[in-house]
Amino acid sequence: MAGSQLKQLKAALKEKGLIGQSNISKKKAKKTKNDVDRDLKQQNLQEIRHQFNKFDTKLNKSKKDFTVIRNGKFVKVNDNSDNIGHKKGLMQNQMKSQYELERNRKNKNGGLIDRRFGENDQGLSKEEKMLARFTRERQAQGKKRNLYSLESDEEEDDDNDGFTLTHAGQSLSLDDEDTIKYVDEDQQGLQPPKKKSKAEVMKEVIAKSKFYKQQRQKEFAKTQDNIQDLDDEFDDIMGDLREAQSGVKNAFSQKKPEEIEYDNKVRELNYDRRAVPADRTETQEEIEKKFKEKQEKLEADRLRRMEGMEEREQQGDDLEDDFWNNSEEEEEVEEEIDEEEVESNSKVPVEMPITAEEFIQQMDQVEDKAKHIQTIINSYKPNLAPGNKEKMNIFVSILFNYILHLANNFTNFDKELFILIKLAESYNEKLVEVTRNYINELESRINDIKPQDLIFFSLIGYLFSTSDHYHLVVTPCLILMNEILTNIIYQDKSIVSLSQGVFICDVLLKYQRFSKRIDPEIINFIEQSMLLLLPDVDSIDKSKFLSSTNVVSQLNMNEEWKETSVLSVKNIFDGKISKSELILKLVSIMDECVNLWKDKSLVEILESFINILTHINKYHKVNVDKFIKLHKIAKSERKPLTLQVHKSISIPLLTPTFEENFNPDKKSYDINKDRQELQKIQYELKKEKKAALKDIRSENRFLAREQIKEKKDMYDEYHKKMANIVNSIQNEEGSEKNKYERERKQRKNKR
Amino acid sequence: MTPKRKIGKSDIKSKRTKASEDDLLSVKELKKLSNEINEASKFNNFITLINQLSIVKSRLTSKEDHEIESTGRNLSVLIFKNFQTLFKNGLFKKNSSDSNDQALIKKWIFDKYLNFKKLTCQFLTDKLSFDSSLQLDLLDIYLNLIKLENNNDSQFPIQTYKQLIEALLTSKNGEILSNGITDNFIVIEFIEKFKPHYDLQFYFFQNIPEKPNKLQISNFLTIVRNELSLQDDLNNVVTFCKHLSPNIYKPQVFKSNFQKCITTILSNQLSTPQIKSVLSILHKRIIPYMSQPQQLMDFLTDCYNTNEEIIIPILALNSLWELMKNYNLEYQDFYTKLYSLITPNLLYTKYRSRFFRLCDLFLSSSHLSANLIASFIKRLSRISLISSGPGVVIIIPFIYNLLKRHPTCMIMIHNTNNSKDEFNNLEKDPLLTNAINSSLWELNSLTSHYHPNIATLCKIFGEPFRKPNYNLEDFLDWNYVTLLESENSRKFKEKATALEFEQFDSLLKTDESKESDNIFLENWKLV
Repeated sequence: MAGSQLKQLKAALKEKGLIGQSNISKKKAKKTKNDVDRDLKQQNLQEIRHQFNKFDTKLNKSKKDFTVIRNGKFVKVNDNSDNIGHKKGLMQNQMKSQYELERNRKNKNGGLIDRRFGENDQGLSKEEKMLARFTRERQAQGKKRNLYSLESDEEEDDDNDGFTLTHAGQSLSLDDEDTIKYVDEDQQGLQPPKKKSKAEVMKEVIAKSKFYKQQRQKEFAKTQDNIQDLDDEFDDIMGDLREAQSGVKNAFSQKKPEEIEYDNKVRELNYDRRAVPADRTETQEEIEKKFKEKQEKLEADRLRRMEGMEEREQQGDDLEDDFWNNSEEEEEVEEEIDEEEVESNSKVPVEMPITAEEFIQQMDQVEDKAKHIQTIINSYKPNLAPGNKEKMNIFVSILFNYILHLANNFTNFDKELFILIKLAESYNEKLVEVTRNYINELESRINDIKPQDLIFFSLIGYLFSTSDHYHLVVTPCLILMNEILTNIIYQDKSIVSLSQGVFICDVLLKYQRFSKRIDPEIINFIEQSMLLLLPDVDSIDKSKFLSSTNVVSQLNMNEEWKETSVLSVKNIFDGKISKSELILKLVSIMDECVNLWKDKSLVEILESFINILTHINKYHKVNVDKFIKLHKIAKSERKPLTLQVHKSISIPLLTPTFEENFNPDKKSYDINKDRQELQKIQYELKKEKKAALKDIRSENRFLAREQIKEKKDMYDEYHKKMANIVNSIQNEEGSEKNKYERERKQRKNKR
Repeated sequence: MTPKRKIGKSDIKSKRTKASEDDLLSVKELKKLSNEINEASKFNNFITLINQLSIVKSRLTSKEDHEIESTGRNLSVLIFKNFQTLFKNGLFKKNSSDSNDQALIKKWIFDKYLNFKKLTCQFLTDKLSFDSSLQLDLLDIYLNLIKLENNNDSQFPIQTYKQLIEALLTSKNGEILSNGITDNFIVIEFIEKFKPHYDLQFYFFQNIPEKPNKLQISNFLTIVRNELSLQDDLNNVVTFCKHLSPNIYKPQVFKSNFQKCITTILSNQLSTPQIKSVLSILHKRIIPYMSQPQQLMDFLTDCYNTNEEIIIPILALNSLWELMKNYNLEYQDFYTKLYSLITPNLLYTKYRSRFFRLCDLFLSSSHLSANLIASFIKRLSRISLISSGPGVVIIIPFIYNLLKRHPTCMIMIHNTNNSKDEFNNLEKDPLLTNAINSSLWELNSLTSHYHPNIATLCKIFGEPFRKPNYNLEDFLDWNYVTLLESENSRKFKEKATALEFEQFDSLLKTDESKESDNIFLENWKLV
């Protein structure tokens, strides 16, 4: 049965020989029955018509898919042919009987309704009827007992005992009315389905709710009983248990001390970590290789972050690399701690500071500061006691502030810094919080820069990965530093602030040592401070400057040129950095800029720098040649931009898609499973609707036909009756007339 | 009434002796004196009371004393109440049926009244040792006197009001701020009354002194900064006094008064902050109320052509645009001037958003030549090389919108012909800069800006121009502080807090560090 309806129809017709070539051979053709037998042909046609008219056949779809033995054959219950409910003729009959039933009952009240099972069903044999009635009766009795019989509670429990027979997960017990399905019921379909009256429906609903309520109550009572039982028996059980325990104790106490010791040893050994094969001692090369690999991995991670790509999620594989190593290290660390702890415990216990001020005071009294910090850290390792982690979190922020405090007093803080770096990884979140708070605080006093602020900026670059595309600490730091640079130029133009700016420029460039990002504020700062500082500014070619040249300065250089390669932070705040030192520092920053941004298009910046440097060259020798060379290269390399090289956007096609394996049977080529299901259901619904409409129409038509027929019958009857009457009257009349005639004749004759 | 006057006269001497001792009377005594005026018509007590007030003034000028202040406040209210009853009793009304004596008394009382007003004005003008609420009280009383006079004479007391204006404008009770206005608390208090009342505004602009000095201009600007209540329909306007001549309801009269007043002010030599202040309110608060705003043209053109300060031309731009739009003014080489305003410092000024808002408007016409637009684009991208972060935030969407609106300029970011850069940065005329034959390398290099968001934003030039345009308002008002604030709102994320893995031997150079050491800042040491 493949192909469309049309194809199927053609095939069926051809099969019966109704269409197609009829002149293959005249002899053969003559022999075909169709030619001879018109009735047969008609019959065939009828059959085909039936076959294709799906609406006249109804399928009783059953959910159950099993096989039964019928007439000595295995028959699938689900088989369509078996389940065809009624054909057209049957339908007609059914309708007719229904109609007649109704007509008979019309305008009649009362009467008897035969509720006996199968009484009106011709399809049942006597035995079957009897059997069904019997089961019904039994069932009704059973139900009654379930619901209302008082004495049978226990019995019932015995009956079921929690077990029920099931098939395919459904109960087979006869108690549940919904699940019963009789063999007969399918055939019962021949009967017109009984319509339930409202009262019946209500009764059913009430019965159901009663049933459920009762079930709930039963369950509740059962659990109550159970609890009661348990409560009653609790004392007994506990008594037993106590006895049992004391018994065990006794049993152990009977053991000898050696045995006990032995048992303990065994248990101890049980809990011992099993020996792990030690890694082979690595050669120097291997260690180097490993280190290199690790570095490479970190480098790759850094690159990814720099591009602003999402970090790779932690994967299962990551565990493998250093799973063993880690645990070993931990162990080692633990051992170390244990040793140290013993040490420190033997000494004076170290107090954990709570505030930075307290810590600073504490540190003033300590000689070996780094060691003191280390002891604090060691004695408050998070795995030593609960709550240590929080304490350490606070300590990290204290240590951070302490370092800044040291910086503010121009004291060396390298050792403390190393400790902080070691802690940074484990207490990253706290450290980030502290630094962010510091940034906020610094922002609020932006016109009052302290030494610790400058150190803070460099610290951030030292601690965090400054090359990241976005970094929670570094990004705000960058914004803040650039704000300070701008402030210096446009508000506060003193030597002290300018040297602070120079320091910040240096830090900013250090931040970009890897990612090489461009920072316009630095260029602005360099140009502006050069205009402020350089001697004889008026003789510089102002047109080459990128930034504004409307600068009035009182800071112009008028002293001896002095070159110092390393400047000191303390001198910044003492104002001891000379103008010439600043200028030369700026020149080195220019050099750094150019080195960093080599591959950016730098022609304009280089032009400006060369202009400034040639001016400086008049007074002090600086290296301009490098800049000129770079400028030449940059200029020659400069090509017009072609940023808009894109794949052209495609225009939507309007030609229909071509299905490679087209199959007319296939209803849809939809890839979406859900949509396909939906379409299927919609199609079914449509079909059902059509069928239902057809049913209703045919029923109406039938009714109309019946009514017309009835009327016709009535008229016929009437006419017949009238004709009879007329006939009889005429007869009578005729006979009377005859009589009269005869009488007259007689009289005439007498006369 | 005559006999009562005699009684009053007999008291004069004793009171005068008291007053001459410069002693302050207690509130109780003052109340008694005041009551005597009301009940016994002892008008001579006015002399004592007014004298007392002047004593209060001299005391407060020398020293801050809150007790004297409260006495003064009581005293001023008492005097005011006395005058109020006198007004009610009709003693300020000239009556032809008055006898000679009565006329004499009325004249005498009026004289005292004038004295009181004069003293009040002095209070408002002079600076006391502290900002006293007595001054505010007296301002209030003076305004109430205006009301009383108005009720009495059924016309606006122009002379009285003029005295007040003079007193206010010359008031020394505040500092001239950096933006050219004052923080004078009396003036600010006066503005509260001035703002809603049309008649006060009308007569204010009628009575401005001819040659104002710097202080007067500052006070004037402070008052004018507020919105005036002149509108097309003057029927429902709120007035301070009840009896007003119908003349003041003519908007033309108001406008011509205002015009005269503004011209007087602007004809003086203004300081730079004052010019800035005038310009910043000109287009909204002044031009709409002028009868002939065209007269501002000279002033505006001068401002626009100033080369010293970049902010003044930017501020003048708004008003100039207003005049061009509504009064058909023509400005020659407007775009050349506009082009010259794009200076490196532009992106560091506070008023950059104001400029870009207008600039967007001026460059919105699609009929402008591509050369012109290209010049603007190129100049902007050039200054972006040294601009502040928040400045770049404006430039990028601005250029995007220009490119979108003028597709001929797309050649600046996509040019397959191998042409040379012929842009002339020094050319003043935007039509001749040859910027169209250049490329926006500067913008391209900003794709690696230090701020991640700016860098990402910059990448739009390398993507297909699908977005119709950027809403410029979203980008105009950024500054470093707001940029930082937006960073603050971010939550902690493990991914965004990576640590540096590169290890340094130390942060700064120390005396012990060796040549081979890896130092973070190798050119700096701590001490």
